[in-house]
Amino acid sequence: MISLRFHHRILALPLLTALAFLLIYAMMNRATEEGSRIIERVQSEFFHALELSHGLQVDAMTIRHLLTNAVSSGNADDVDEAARFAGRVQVVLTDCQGVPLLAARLDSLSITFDEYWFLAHATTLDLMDAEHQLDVDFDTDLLDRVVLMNRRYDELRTLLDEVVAASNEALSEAMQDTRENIAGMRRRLNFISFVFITALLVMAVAAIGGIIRPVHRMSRVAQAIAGGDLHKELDYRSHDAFGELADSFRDMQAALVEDIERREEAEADLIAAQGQIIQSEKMAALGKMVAGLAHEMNSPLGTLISAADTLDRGRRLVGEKCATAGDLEELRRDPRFAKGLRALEQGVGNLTVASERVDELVSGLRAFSLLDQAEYQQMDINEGVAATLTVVDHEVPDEVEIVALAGDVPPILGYPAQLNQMLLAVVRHALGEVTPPSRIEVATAVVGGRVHITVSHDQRLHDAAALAGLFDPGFRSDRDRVRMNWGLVACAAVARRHGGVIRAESGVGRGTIYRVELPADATGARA
Amino acid sequence: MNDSTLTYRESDATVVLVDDEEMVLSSLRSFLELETEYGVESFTEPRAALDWAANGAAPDVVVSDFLMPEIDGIEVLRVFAEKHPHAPRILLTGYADKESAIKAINDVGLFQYVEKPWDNEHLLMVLRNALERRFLVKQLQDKIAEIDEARGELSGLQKDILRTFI
Repeated sequence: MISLRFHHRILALPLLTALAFLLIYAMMNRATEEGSRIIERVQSEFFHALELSHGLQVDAMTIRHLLTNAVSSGNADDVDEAARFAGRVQVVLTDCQGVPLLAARLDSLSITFDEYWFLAHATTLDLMDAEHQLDVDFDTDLLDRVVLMNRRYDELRTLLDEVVAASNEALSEAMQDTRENIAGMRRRLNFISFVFITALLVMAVAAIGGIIRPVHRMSRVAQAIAGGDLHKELDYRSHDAFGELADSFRDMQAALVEDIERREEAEADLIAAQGQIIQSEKMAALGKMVAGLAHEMNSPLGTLISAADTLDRGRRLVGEKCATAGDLEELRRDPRFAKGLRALEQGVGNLTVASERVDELVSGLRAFSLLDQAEYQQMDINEGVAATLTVVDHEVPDEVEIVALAGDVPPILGYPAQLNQMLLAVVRHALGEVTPPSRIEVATAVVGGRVHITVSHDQRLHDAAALAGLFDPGFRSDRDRVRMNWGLVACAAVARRHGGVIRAESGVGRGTIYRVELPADATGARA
Repeated sequence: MNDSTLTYRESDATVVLVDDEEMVLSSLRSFLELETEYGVESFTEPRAALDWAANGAAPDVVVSDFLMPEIDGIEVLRVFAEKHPHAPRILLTGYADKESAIKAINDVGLFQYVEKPWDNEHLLMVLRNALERRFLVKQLQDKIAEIDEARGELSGLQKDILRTFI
């Protein structure tokens, strides 16, 4: 059954139903025919027999009655009437030969009737003669014949009763048979119906199961695929329509898996390419930074080398003069000696300035690379602002006012040293770009669940491109010289490290705002 | 350094230095003061140097940094080349960028490209060569002017003679 093609299975259902209907119809037909046959037989055989036997009974009684009347009334017509009945009885008896039930008893019945009739007819005529003679005594012979005649009549009645009883019995039997037949037929019908309905049910269940099972399996596999298990196998194989569907499903799955693998490959390539781009961007940023570093380093380095050389030359000149001079006065008057001394003095000054610059650069580099791993802890950003302003105080030019507007902000988690350095860099940057007179505000506030620290002034200085470049490594120029853009690049790194961001806005009538946004709880910070 | 082969007196030479780093200017000044008799004019702001050049000054050699605020070294040297074409131009830069070097040489007729950190002795040699050239050209110009003047005088005489005879 299962190996049948699916549409065969579906078609089998109405076919089986039709077959069942036909079979049941045929059985019903046969049952009806059987019933008709039985009815016919009952009619042709038993009813006839009963009718005939009843008729014979009645005729026999009528004959006896007529003969008795004839004797008592002396009317010969009654005898003729009785003879007519007797004739009819004989005809009926002849008819009875066609009735199988009666045929068996017909011989004895005919003989008994004939004996009775001849005896009764003759005796009746003799009795009537005797009545006419009036005085004639009944002879014994006549009496004997009457007794015999009555005996024969009783025998006839008995026979007829038997025939009737037999007919009745046969009829009952036939009825019983019919009932049994009908009951059997009903049983068979019930059985056949049961068998067919069961078969239909089984087939229907099998057919529906044949639909549901593969659909269910496919649905499960589809869900698994949707859930990410792309290689989940559909273990349904068949030659029917669902088998084909399952094959199509597997083809689709294979195509899907292949497609996804291709996409994943492409994605991996893309990620690799992106990685390369990021790497090359990193390299470009590094290149920019190194170029900036070279520029920053080369001036103090050149100064150091030059100053060292000048010092050496000055030292040699002074030493030479000291060795060759006659006395101190001569030495004092020698302009070359004075030059040498001045060179020594200036050389020391230049060395100091250049070394300080190198020191500053190294500090900037350290801050830039976030090498100082300060302790990660809770800090009050308002305290940080206050500390920053204290540090920067001596750098604030005349006519520039710098004020702190401390808002009600919760403590944040982070690296206080880095955050302070970031604040310092932003404030210094703002100081570097304003032209006095000006006012710089450093404010803290909670906006949208984040802590905002803003450093703002009333001068618009940046166009969009310059704003975008503020946090990129490279050069920038402030009032007096071009320098490496250390501070704000490091600021962006610090803000990012604390799960935040730093932005700059500059517009006509709005001035310039540097805004550091940090999570209220900077747990986004990486250790 | 009173070299007898020199075609000029060191004290007559004016060296212009432009760099946004005071320490660079200071160390160069200190070195040149010790070793030479040059007159040194130094500027931390390029604009001040250009103003100076525009107001009748006479530089003999110009040394400029490249990366500076507002005006870069190439622009400074270009302006000097316009105003004082005979003063050789030297770029002294720590920003070792081939592109800017080529641009400088092509745009402003650079005499020399010197990288920071520089070597005093080497820089001095470059300056001397530049000044030597500067004064040779100057002498040549002087001679040409002299000859020109003499020729003018001669042609004047010629005219006088002609006038006398006619």
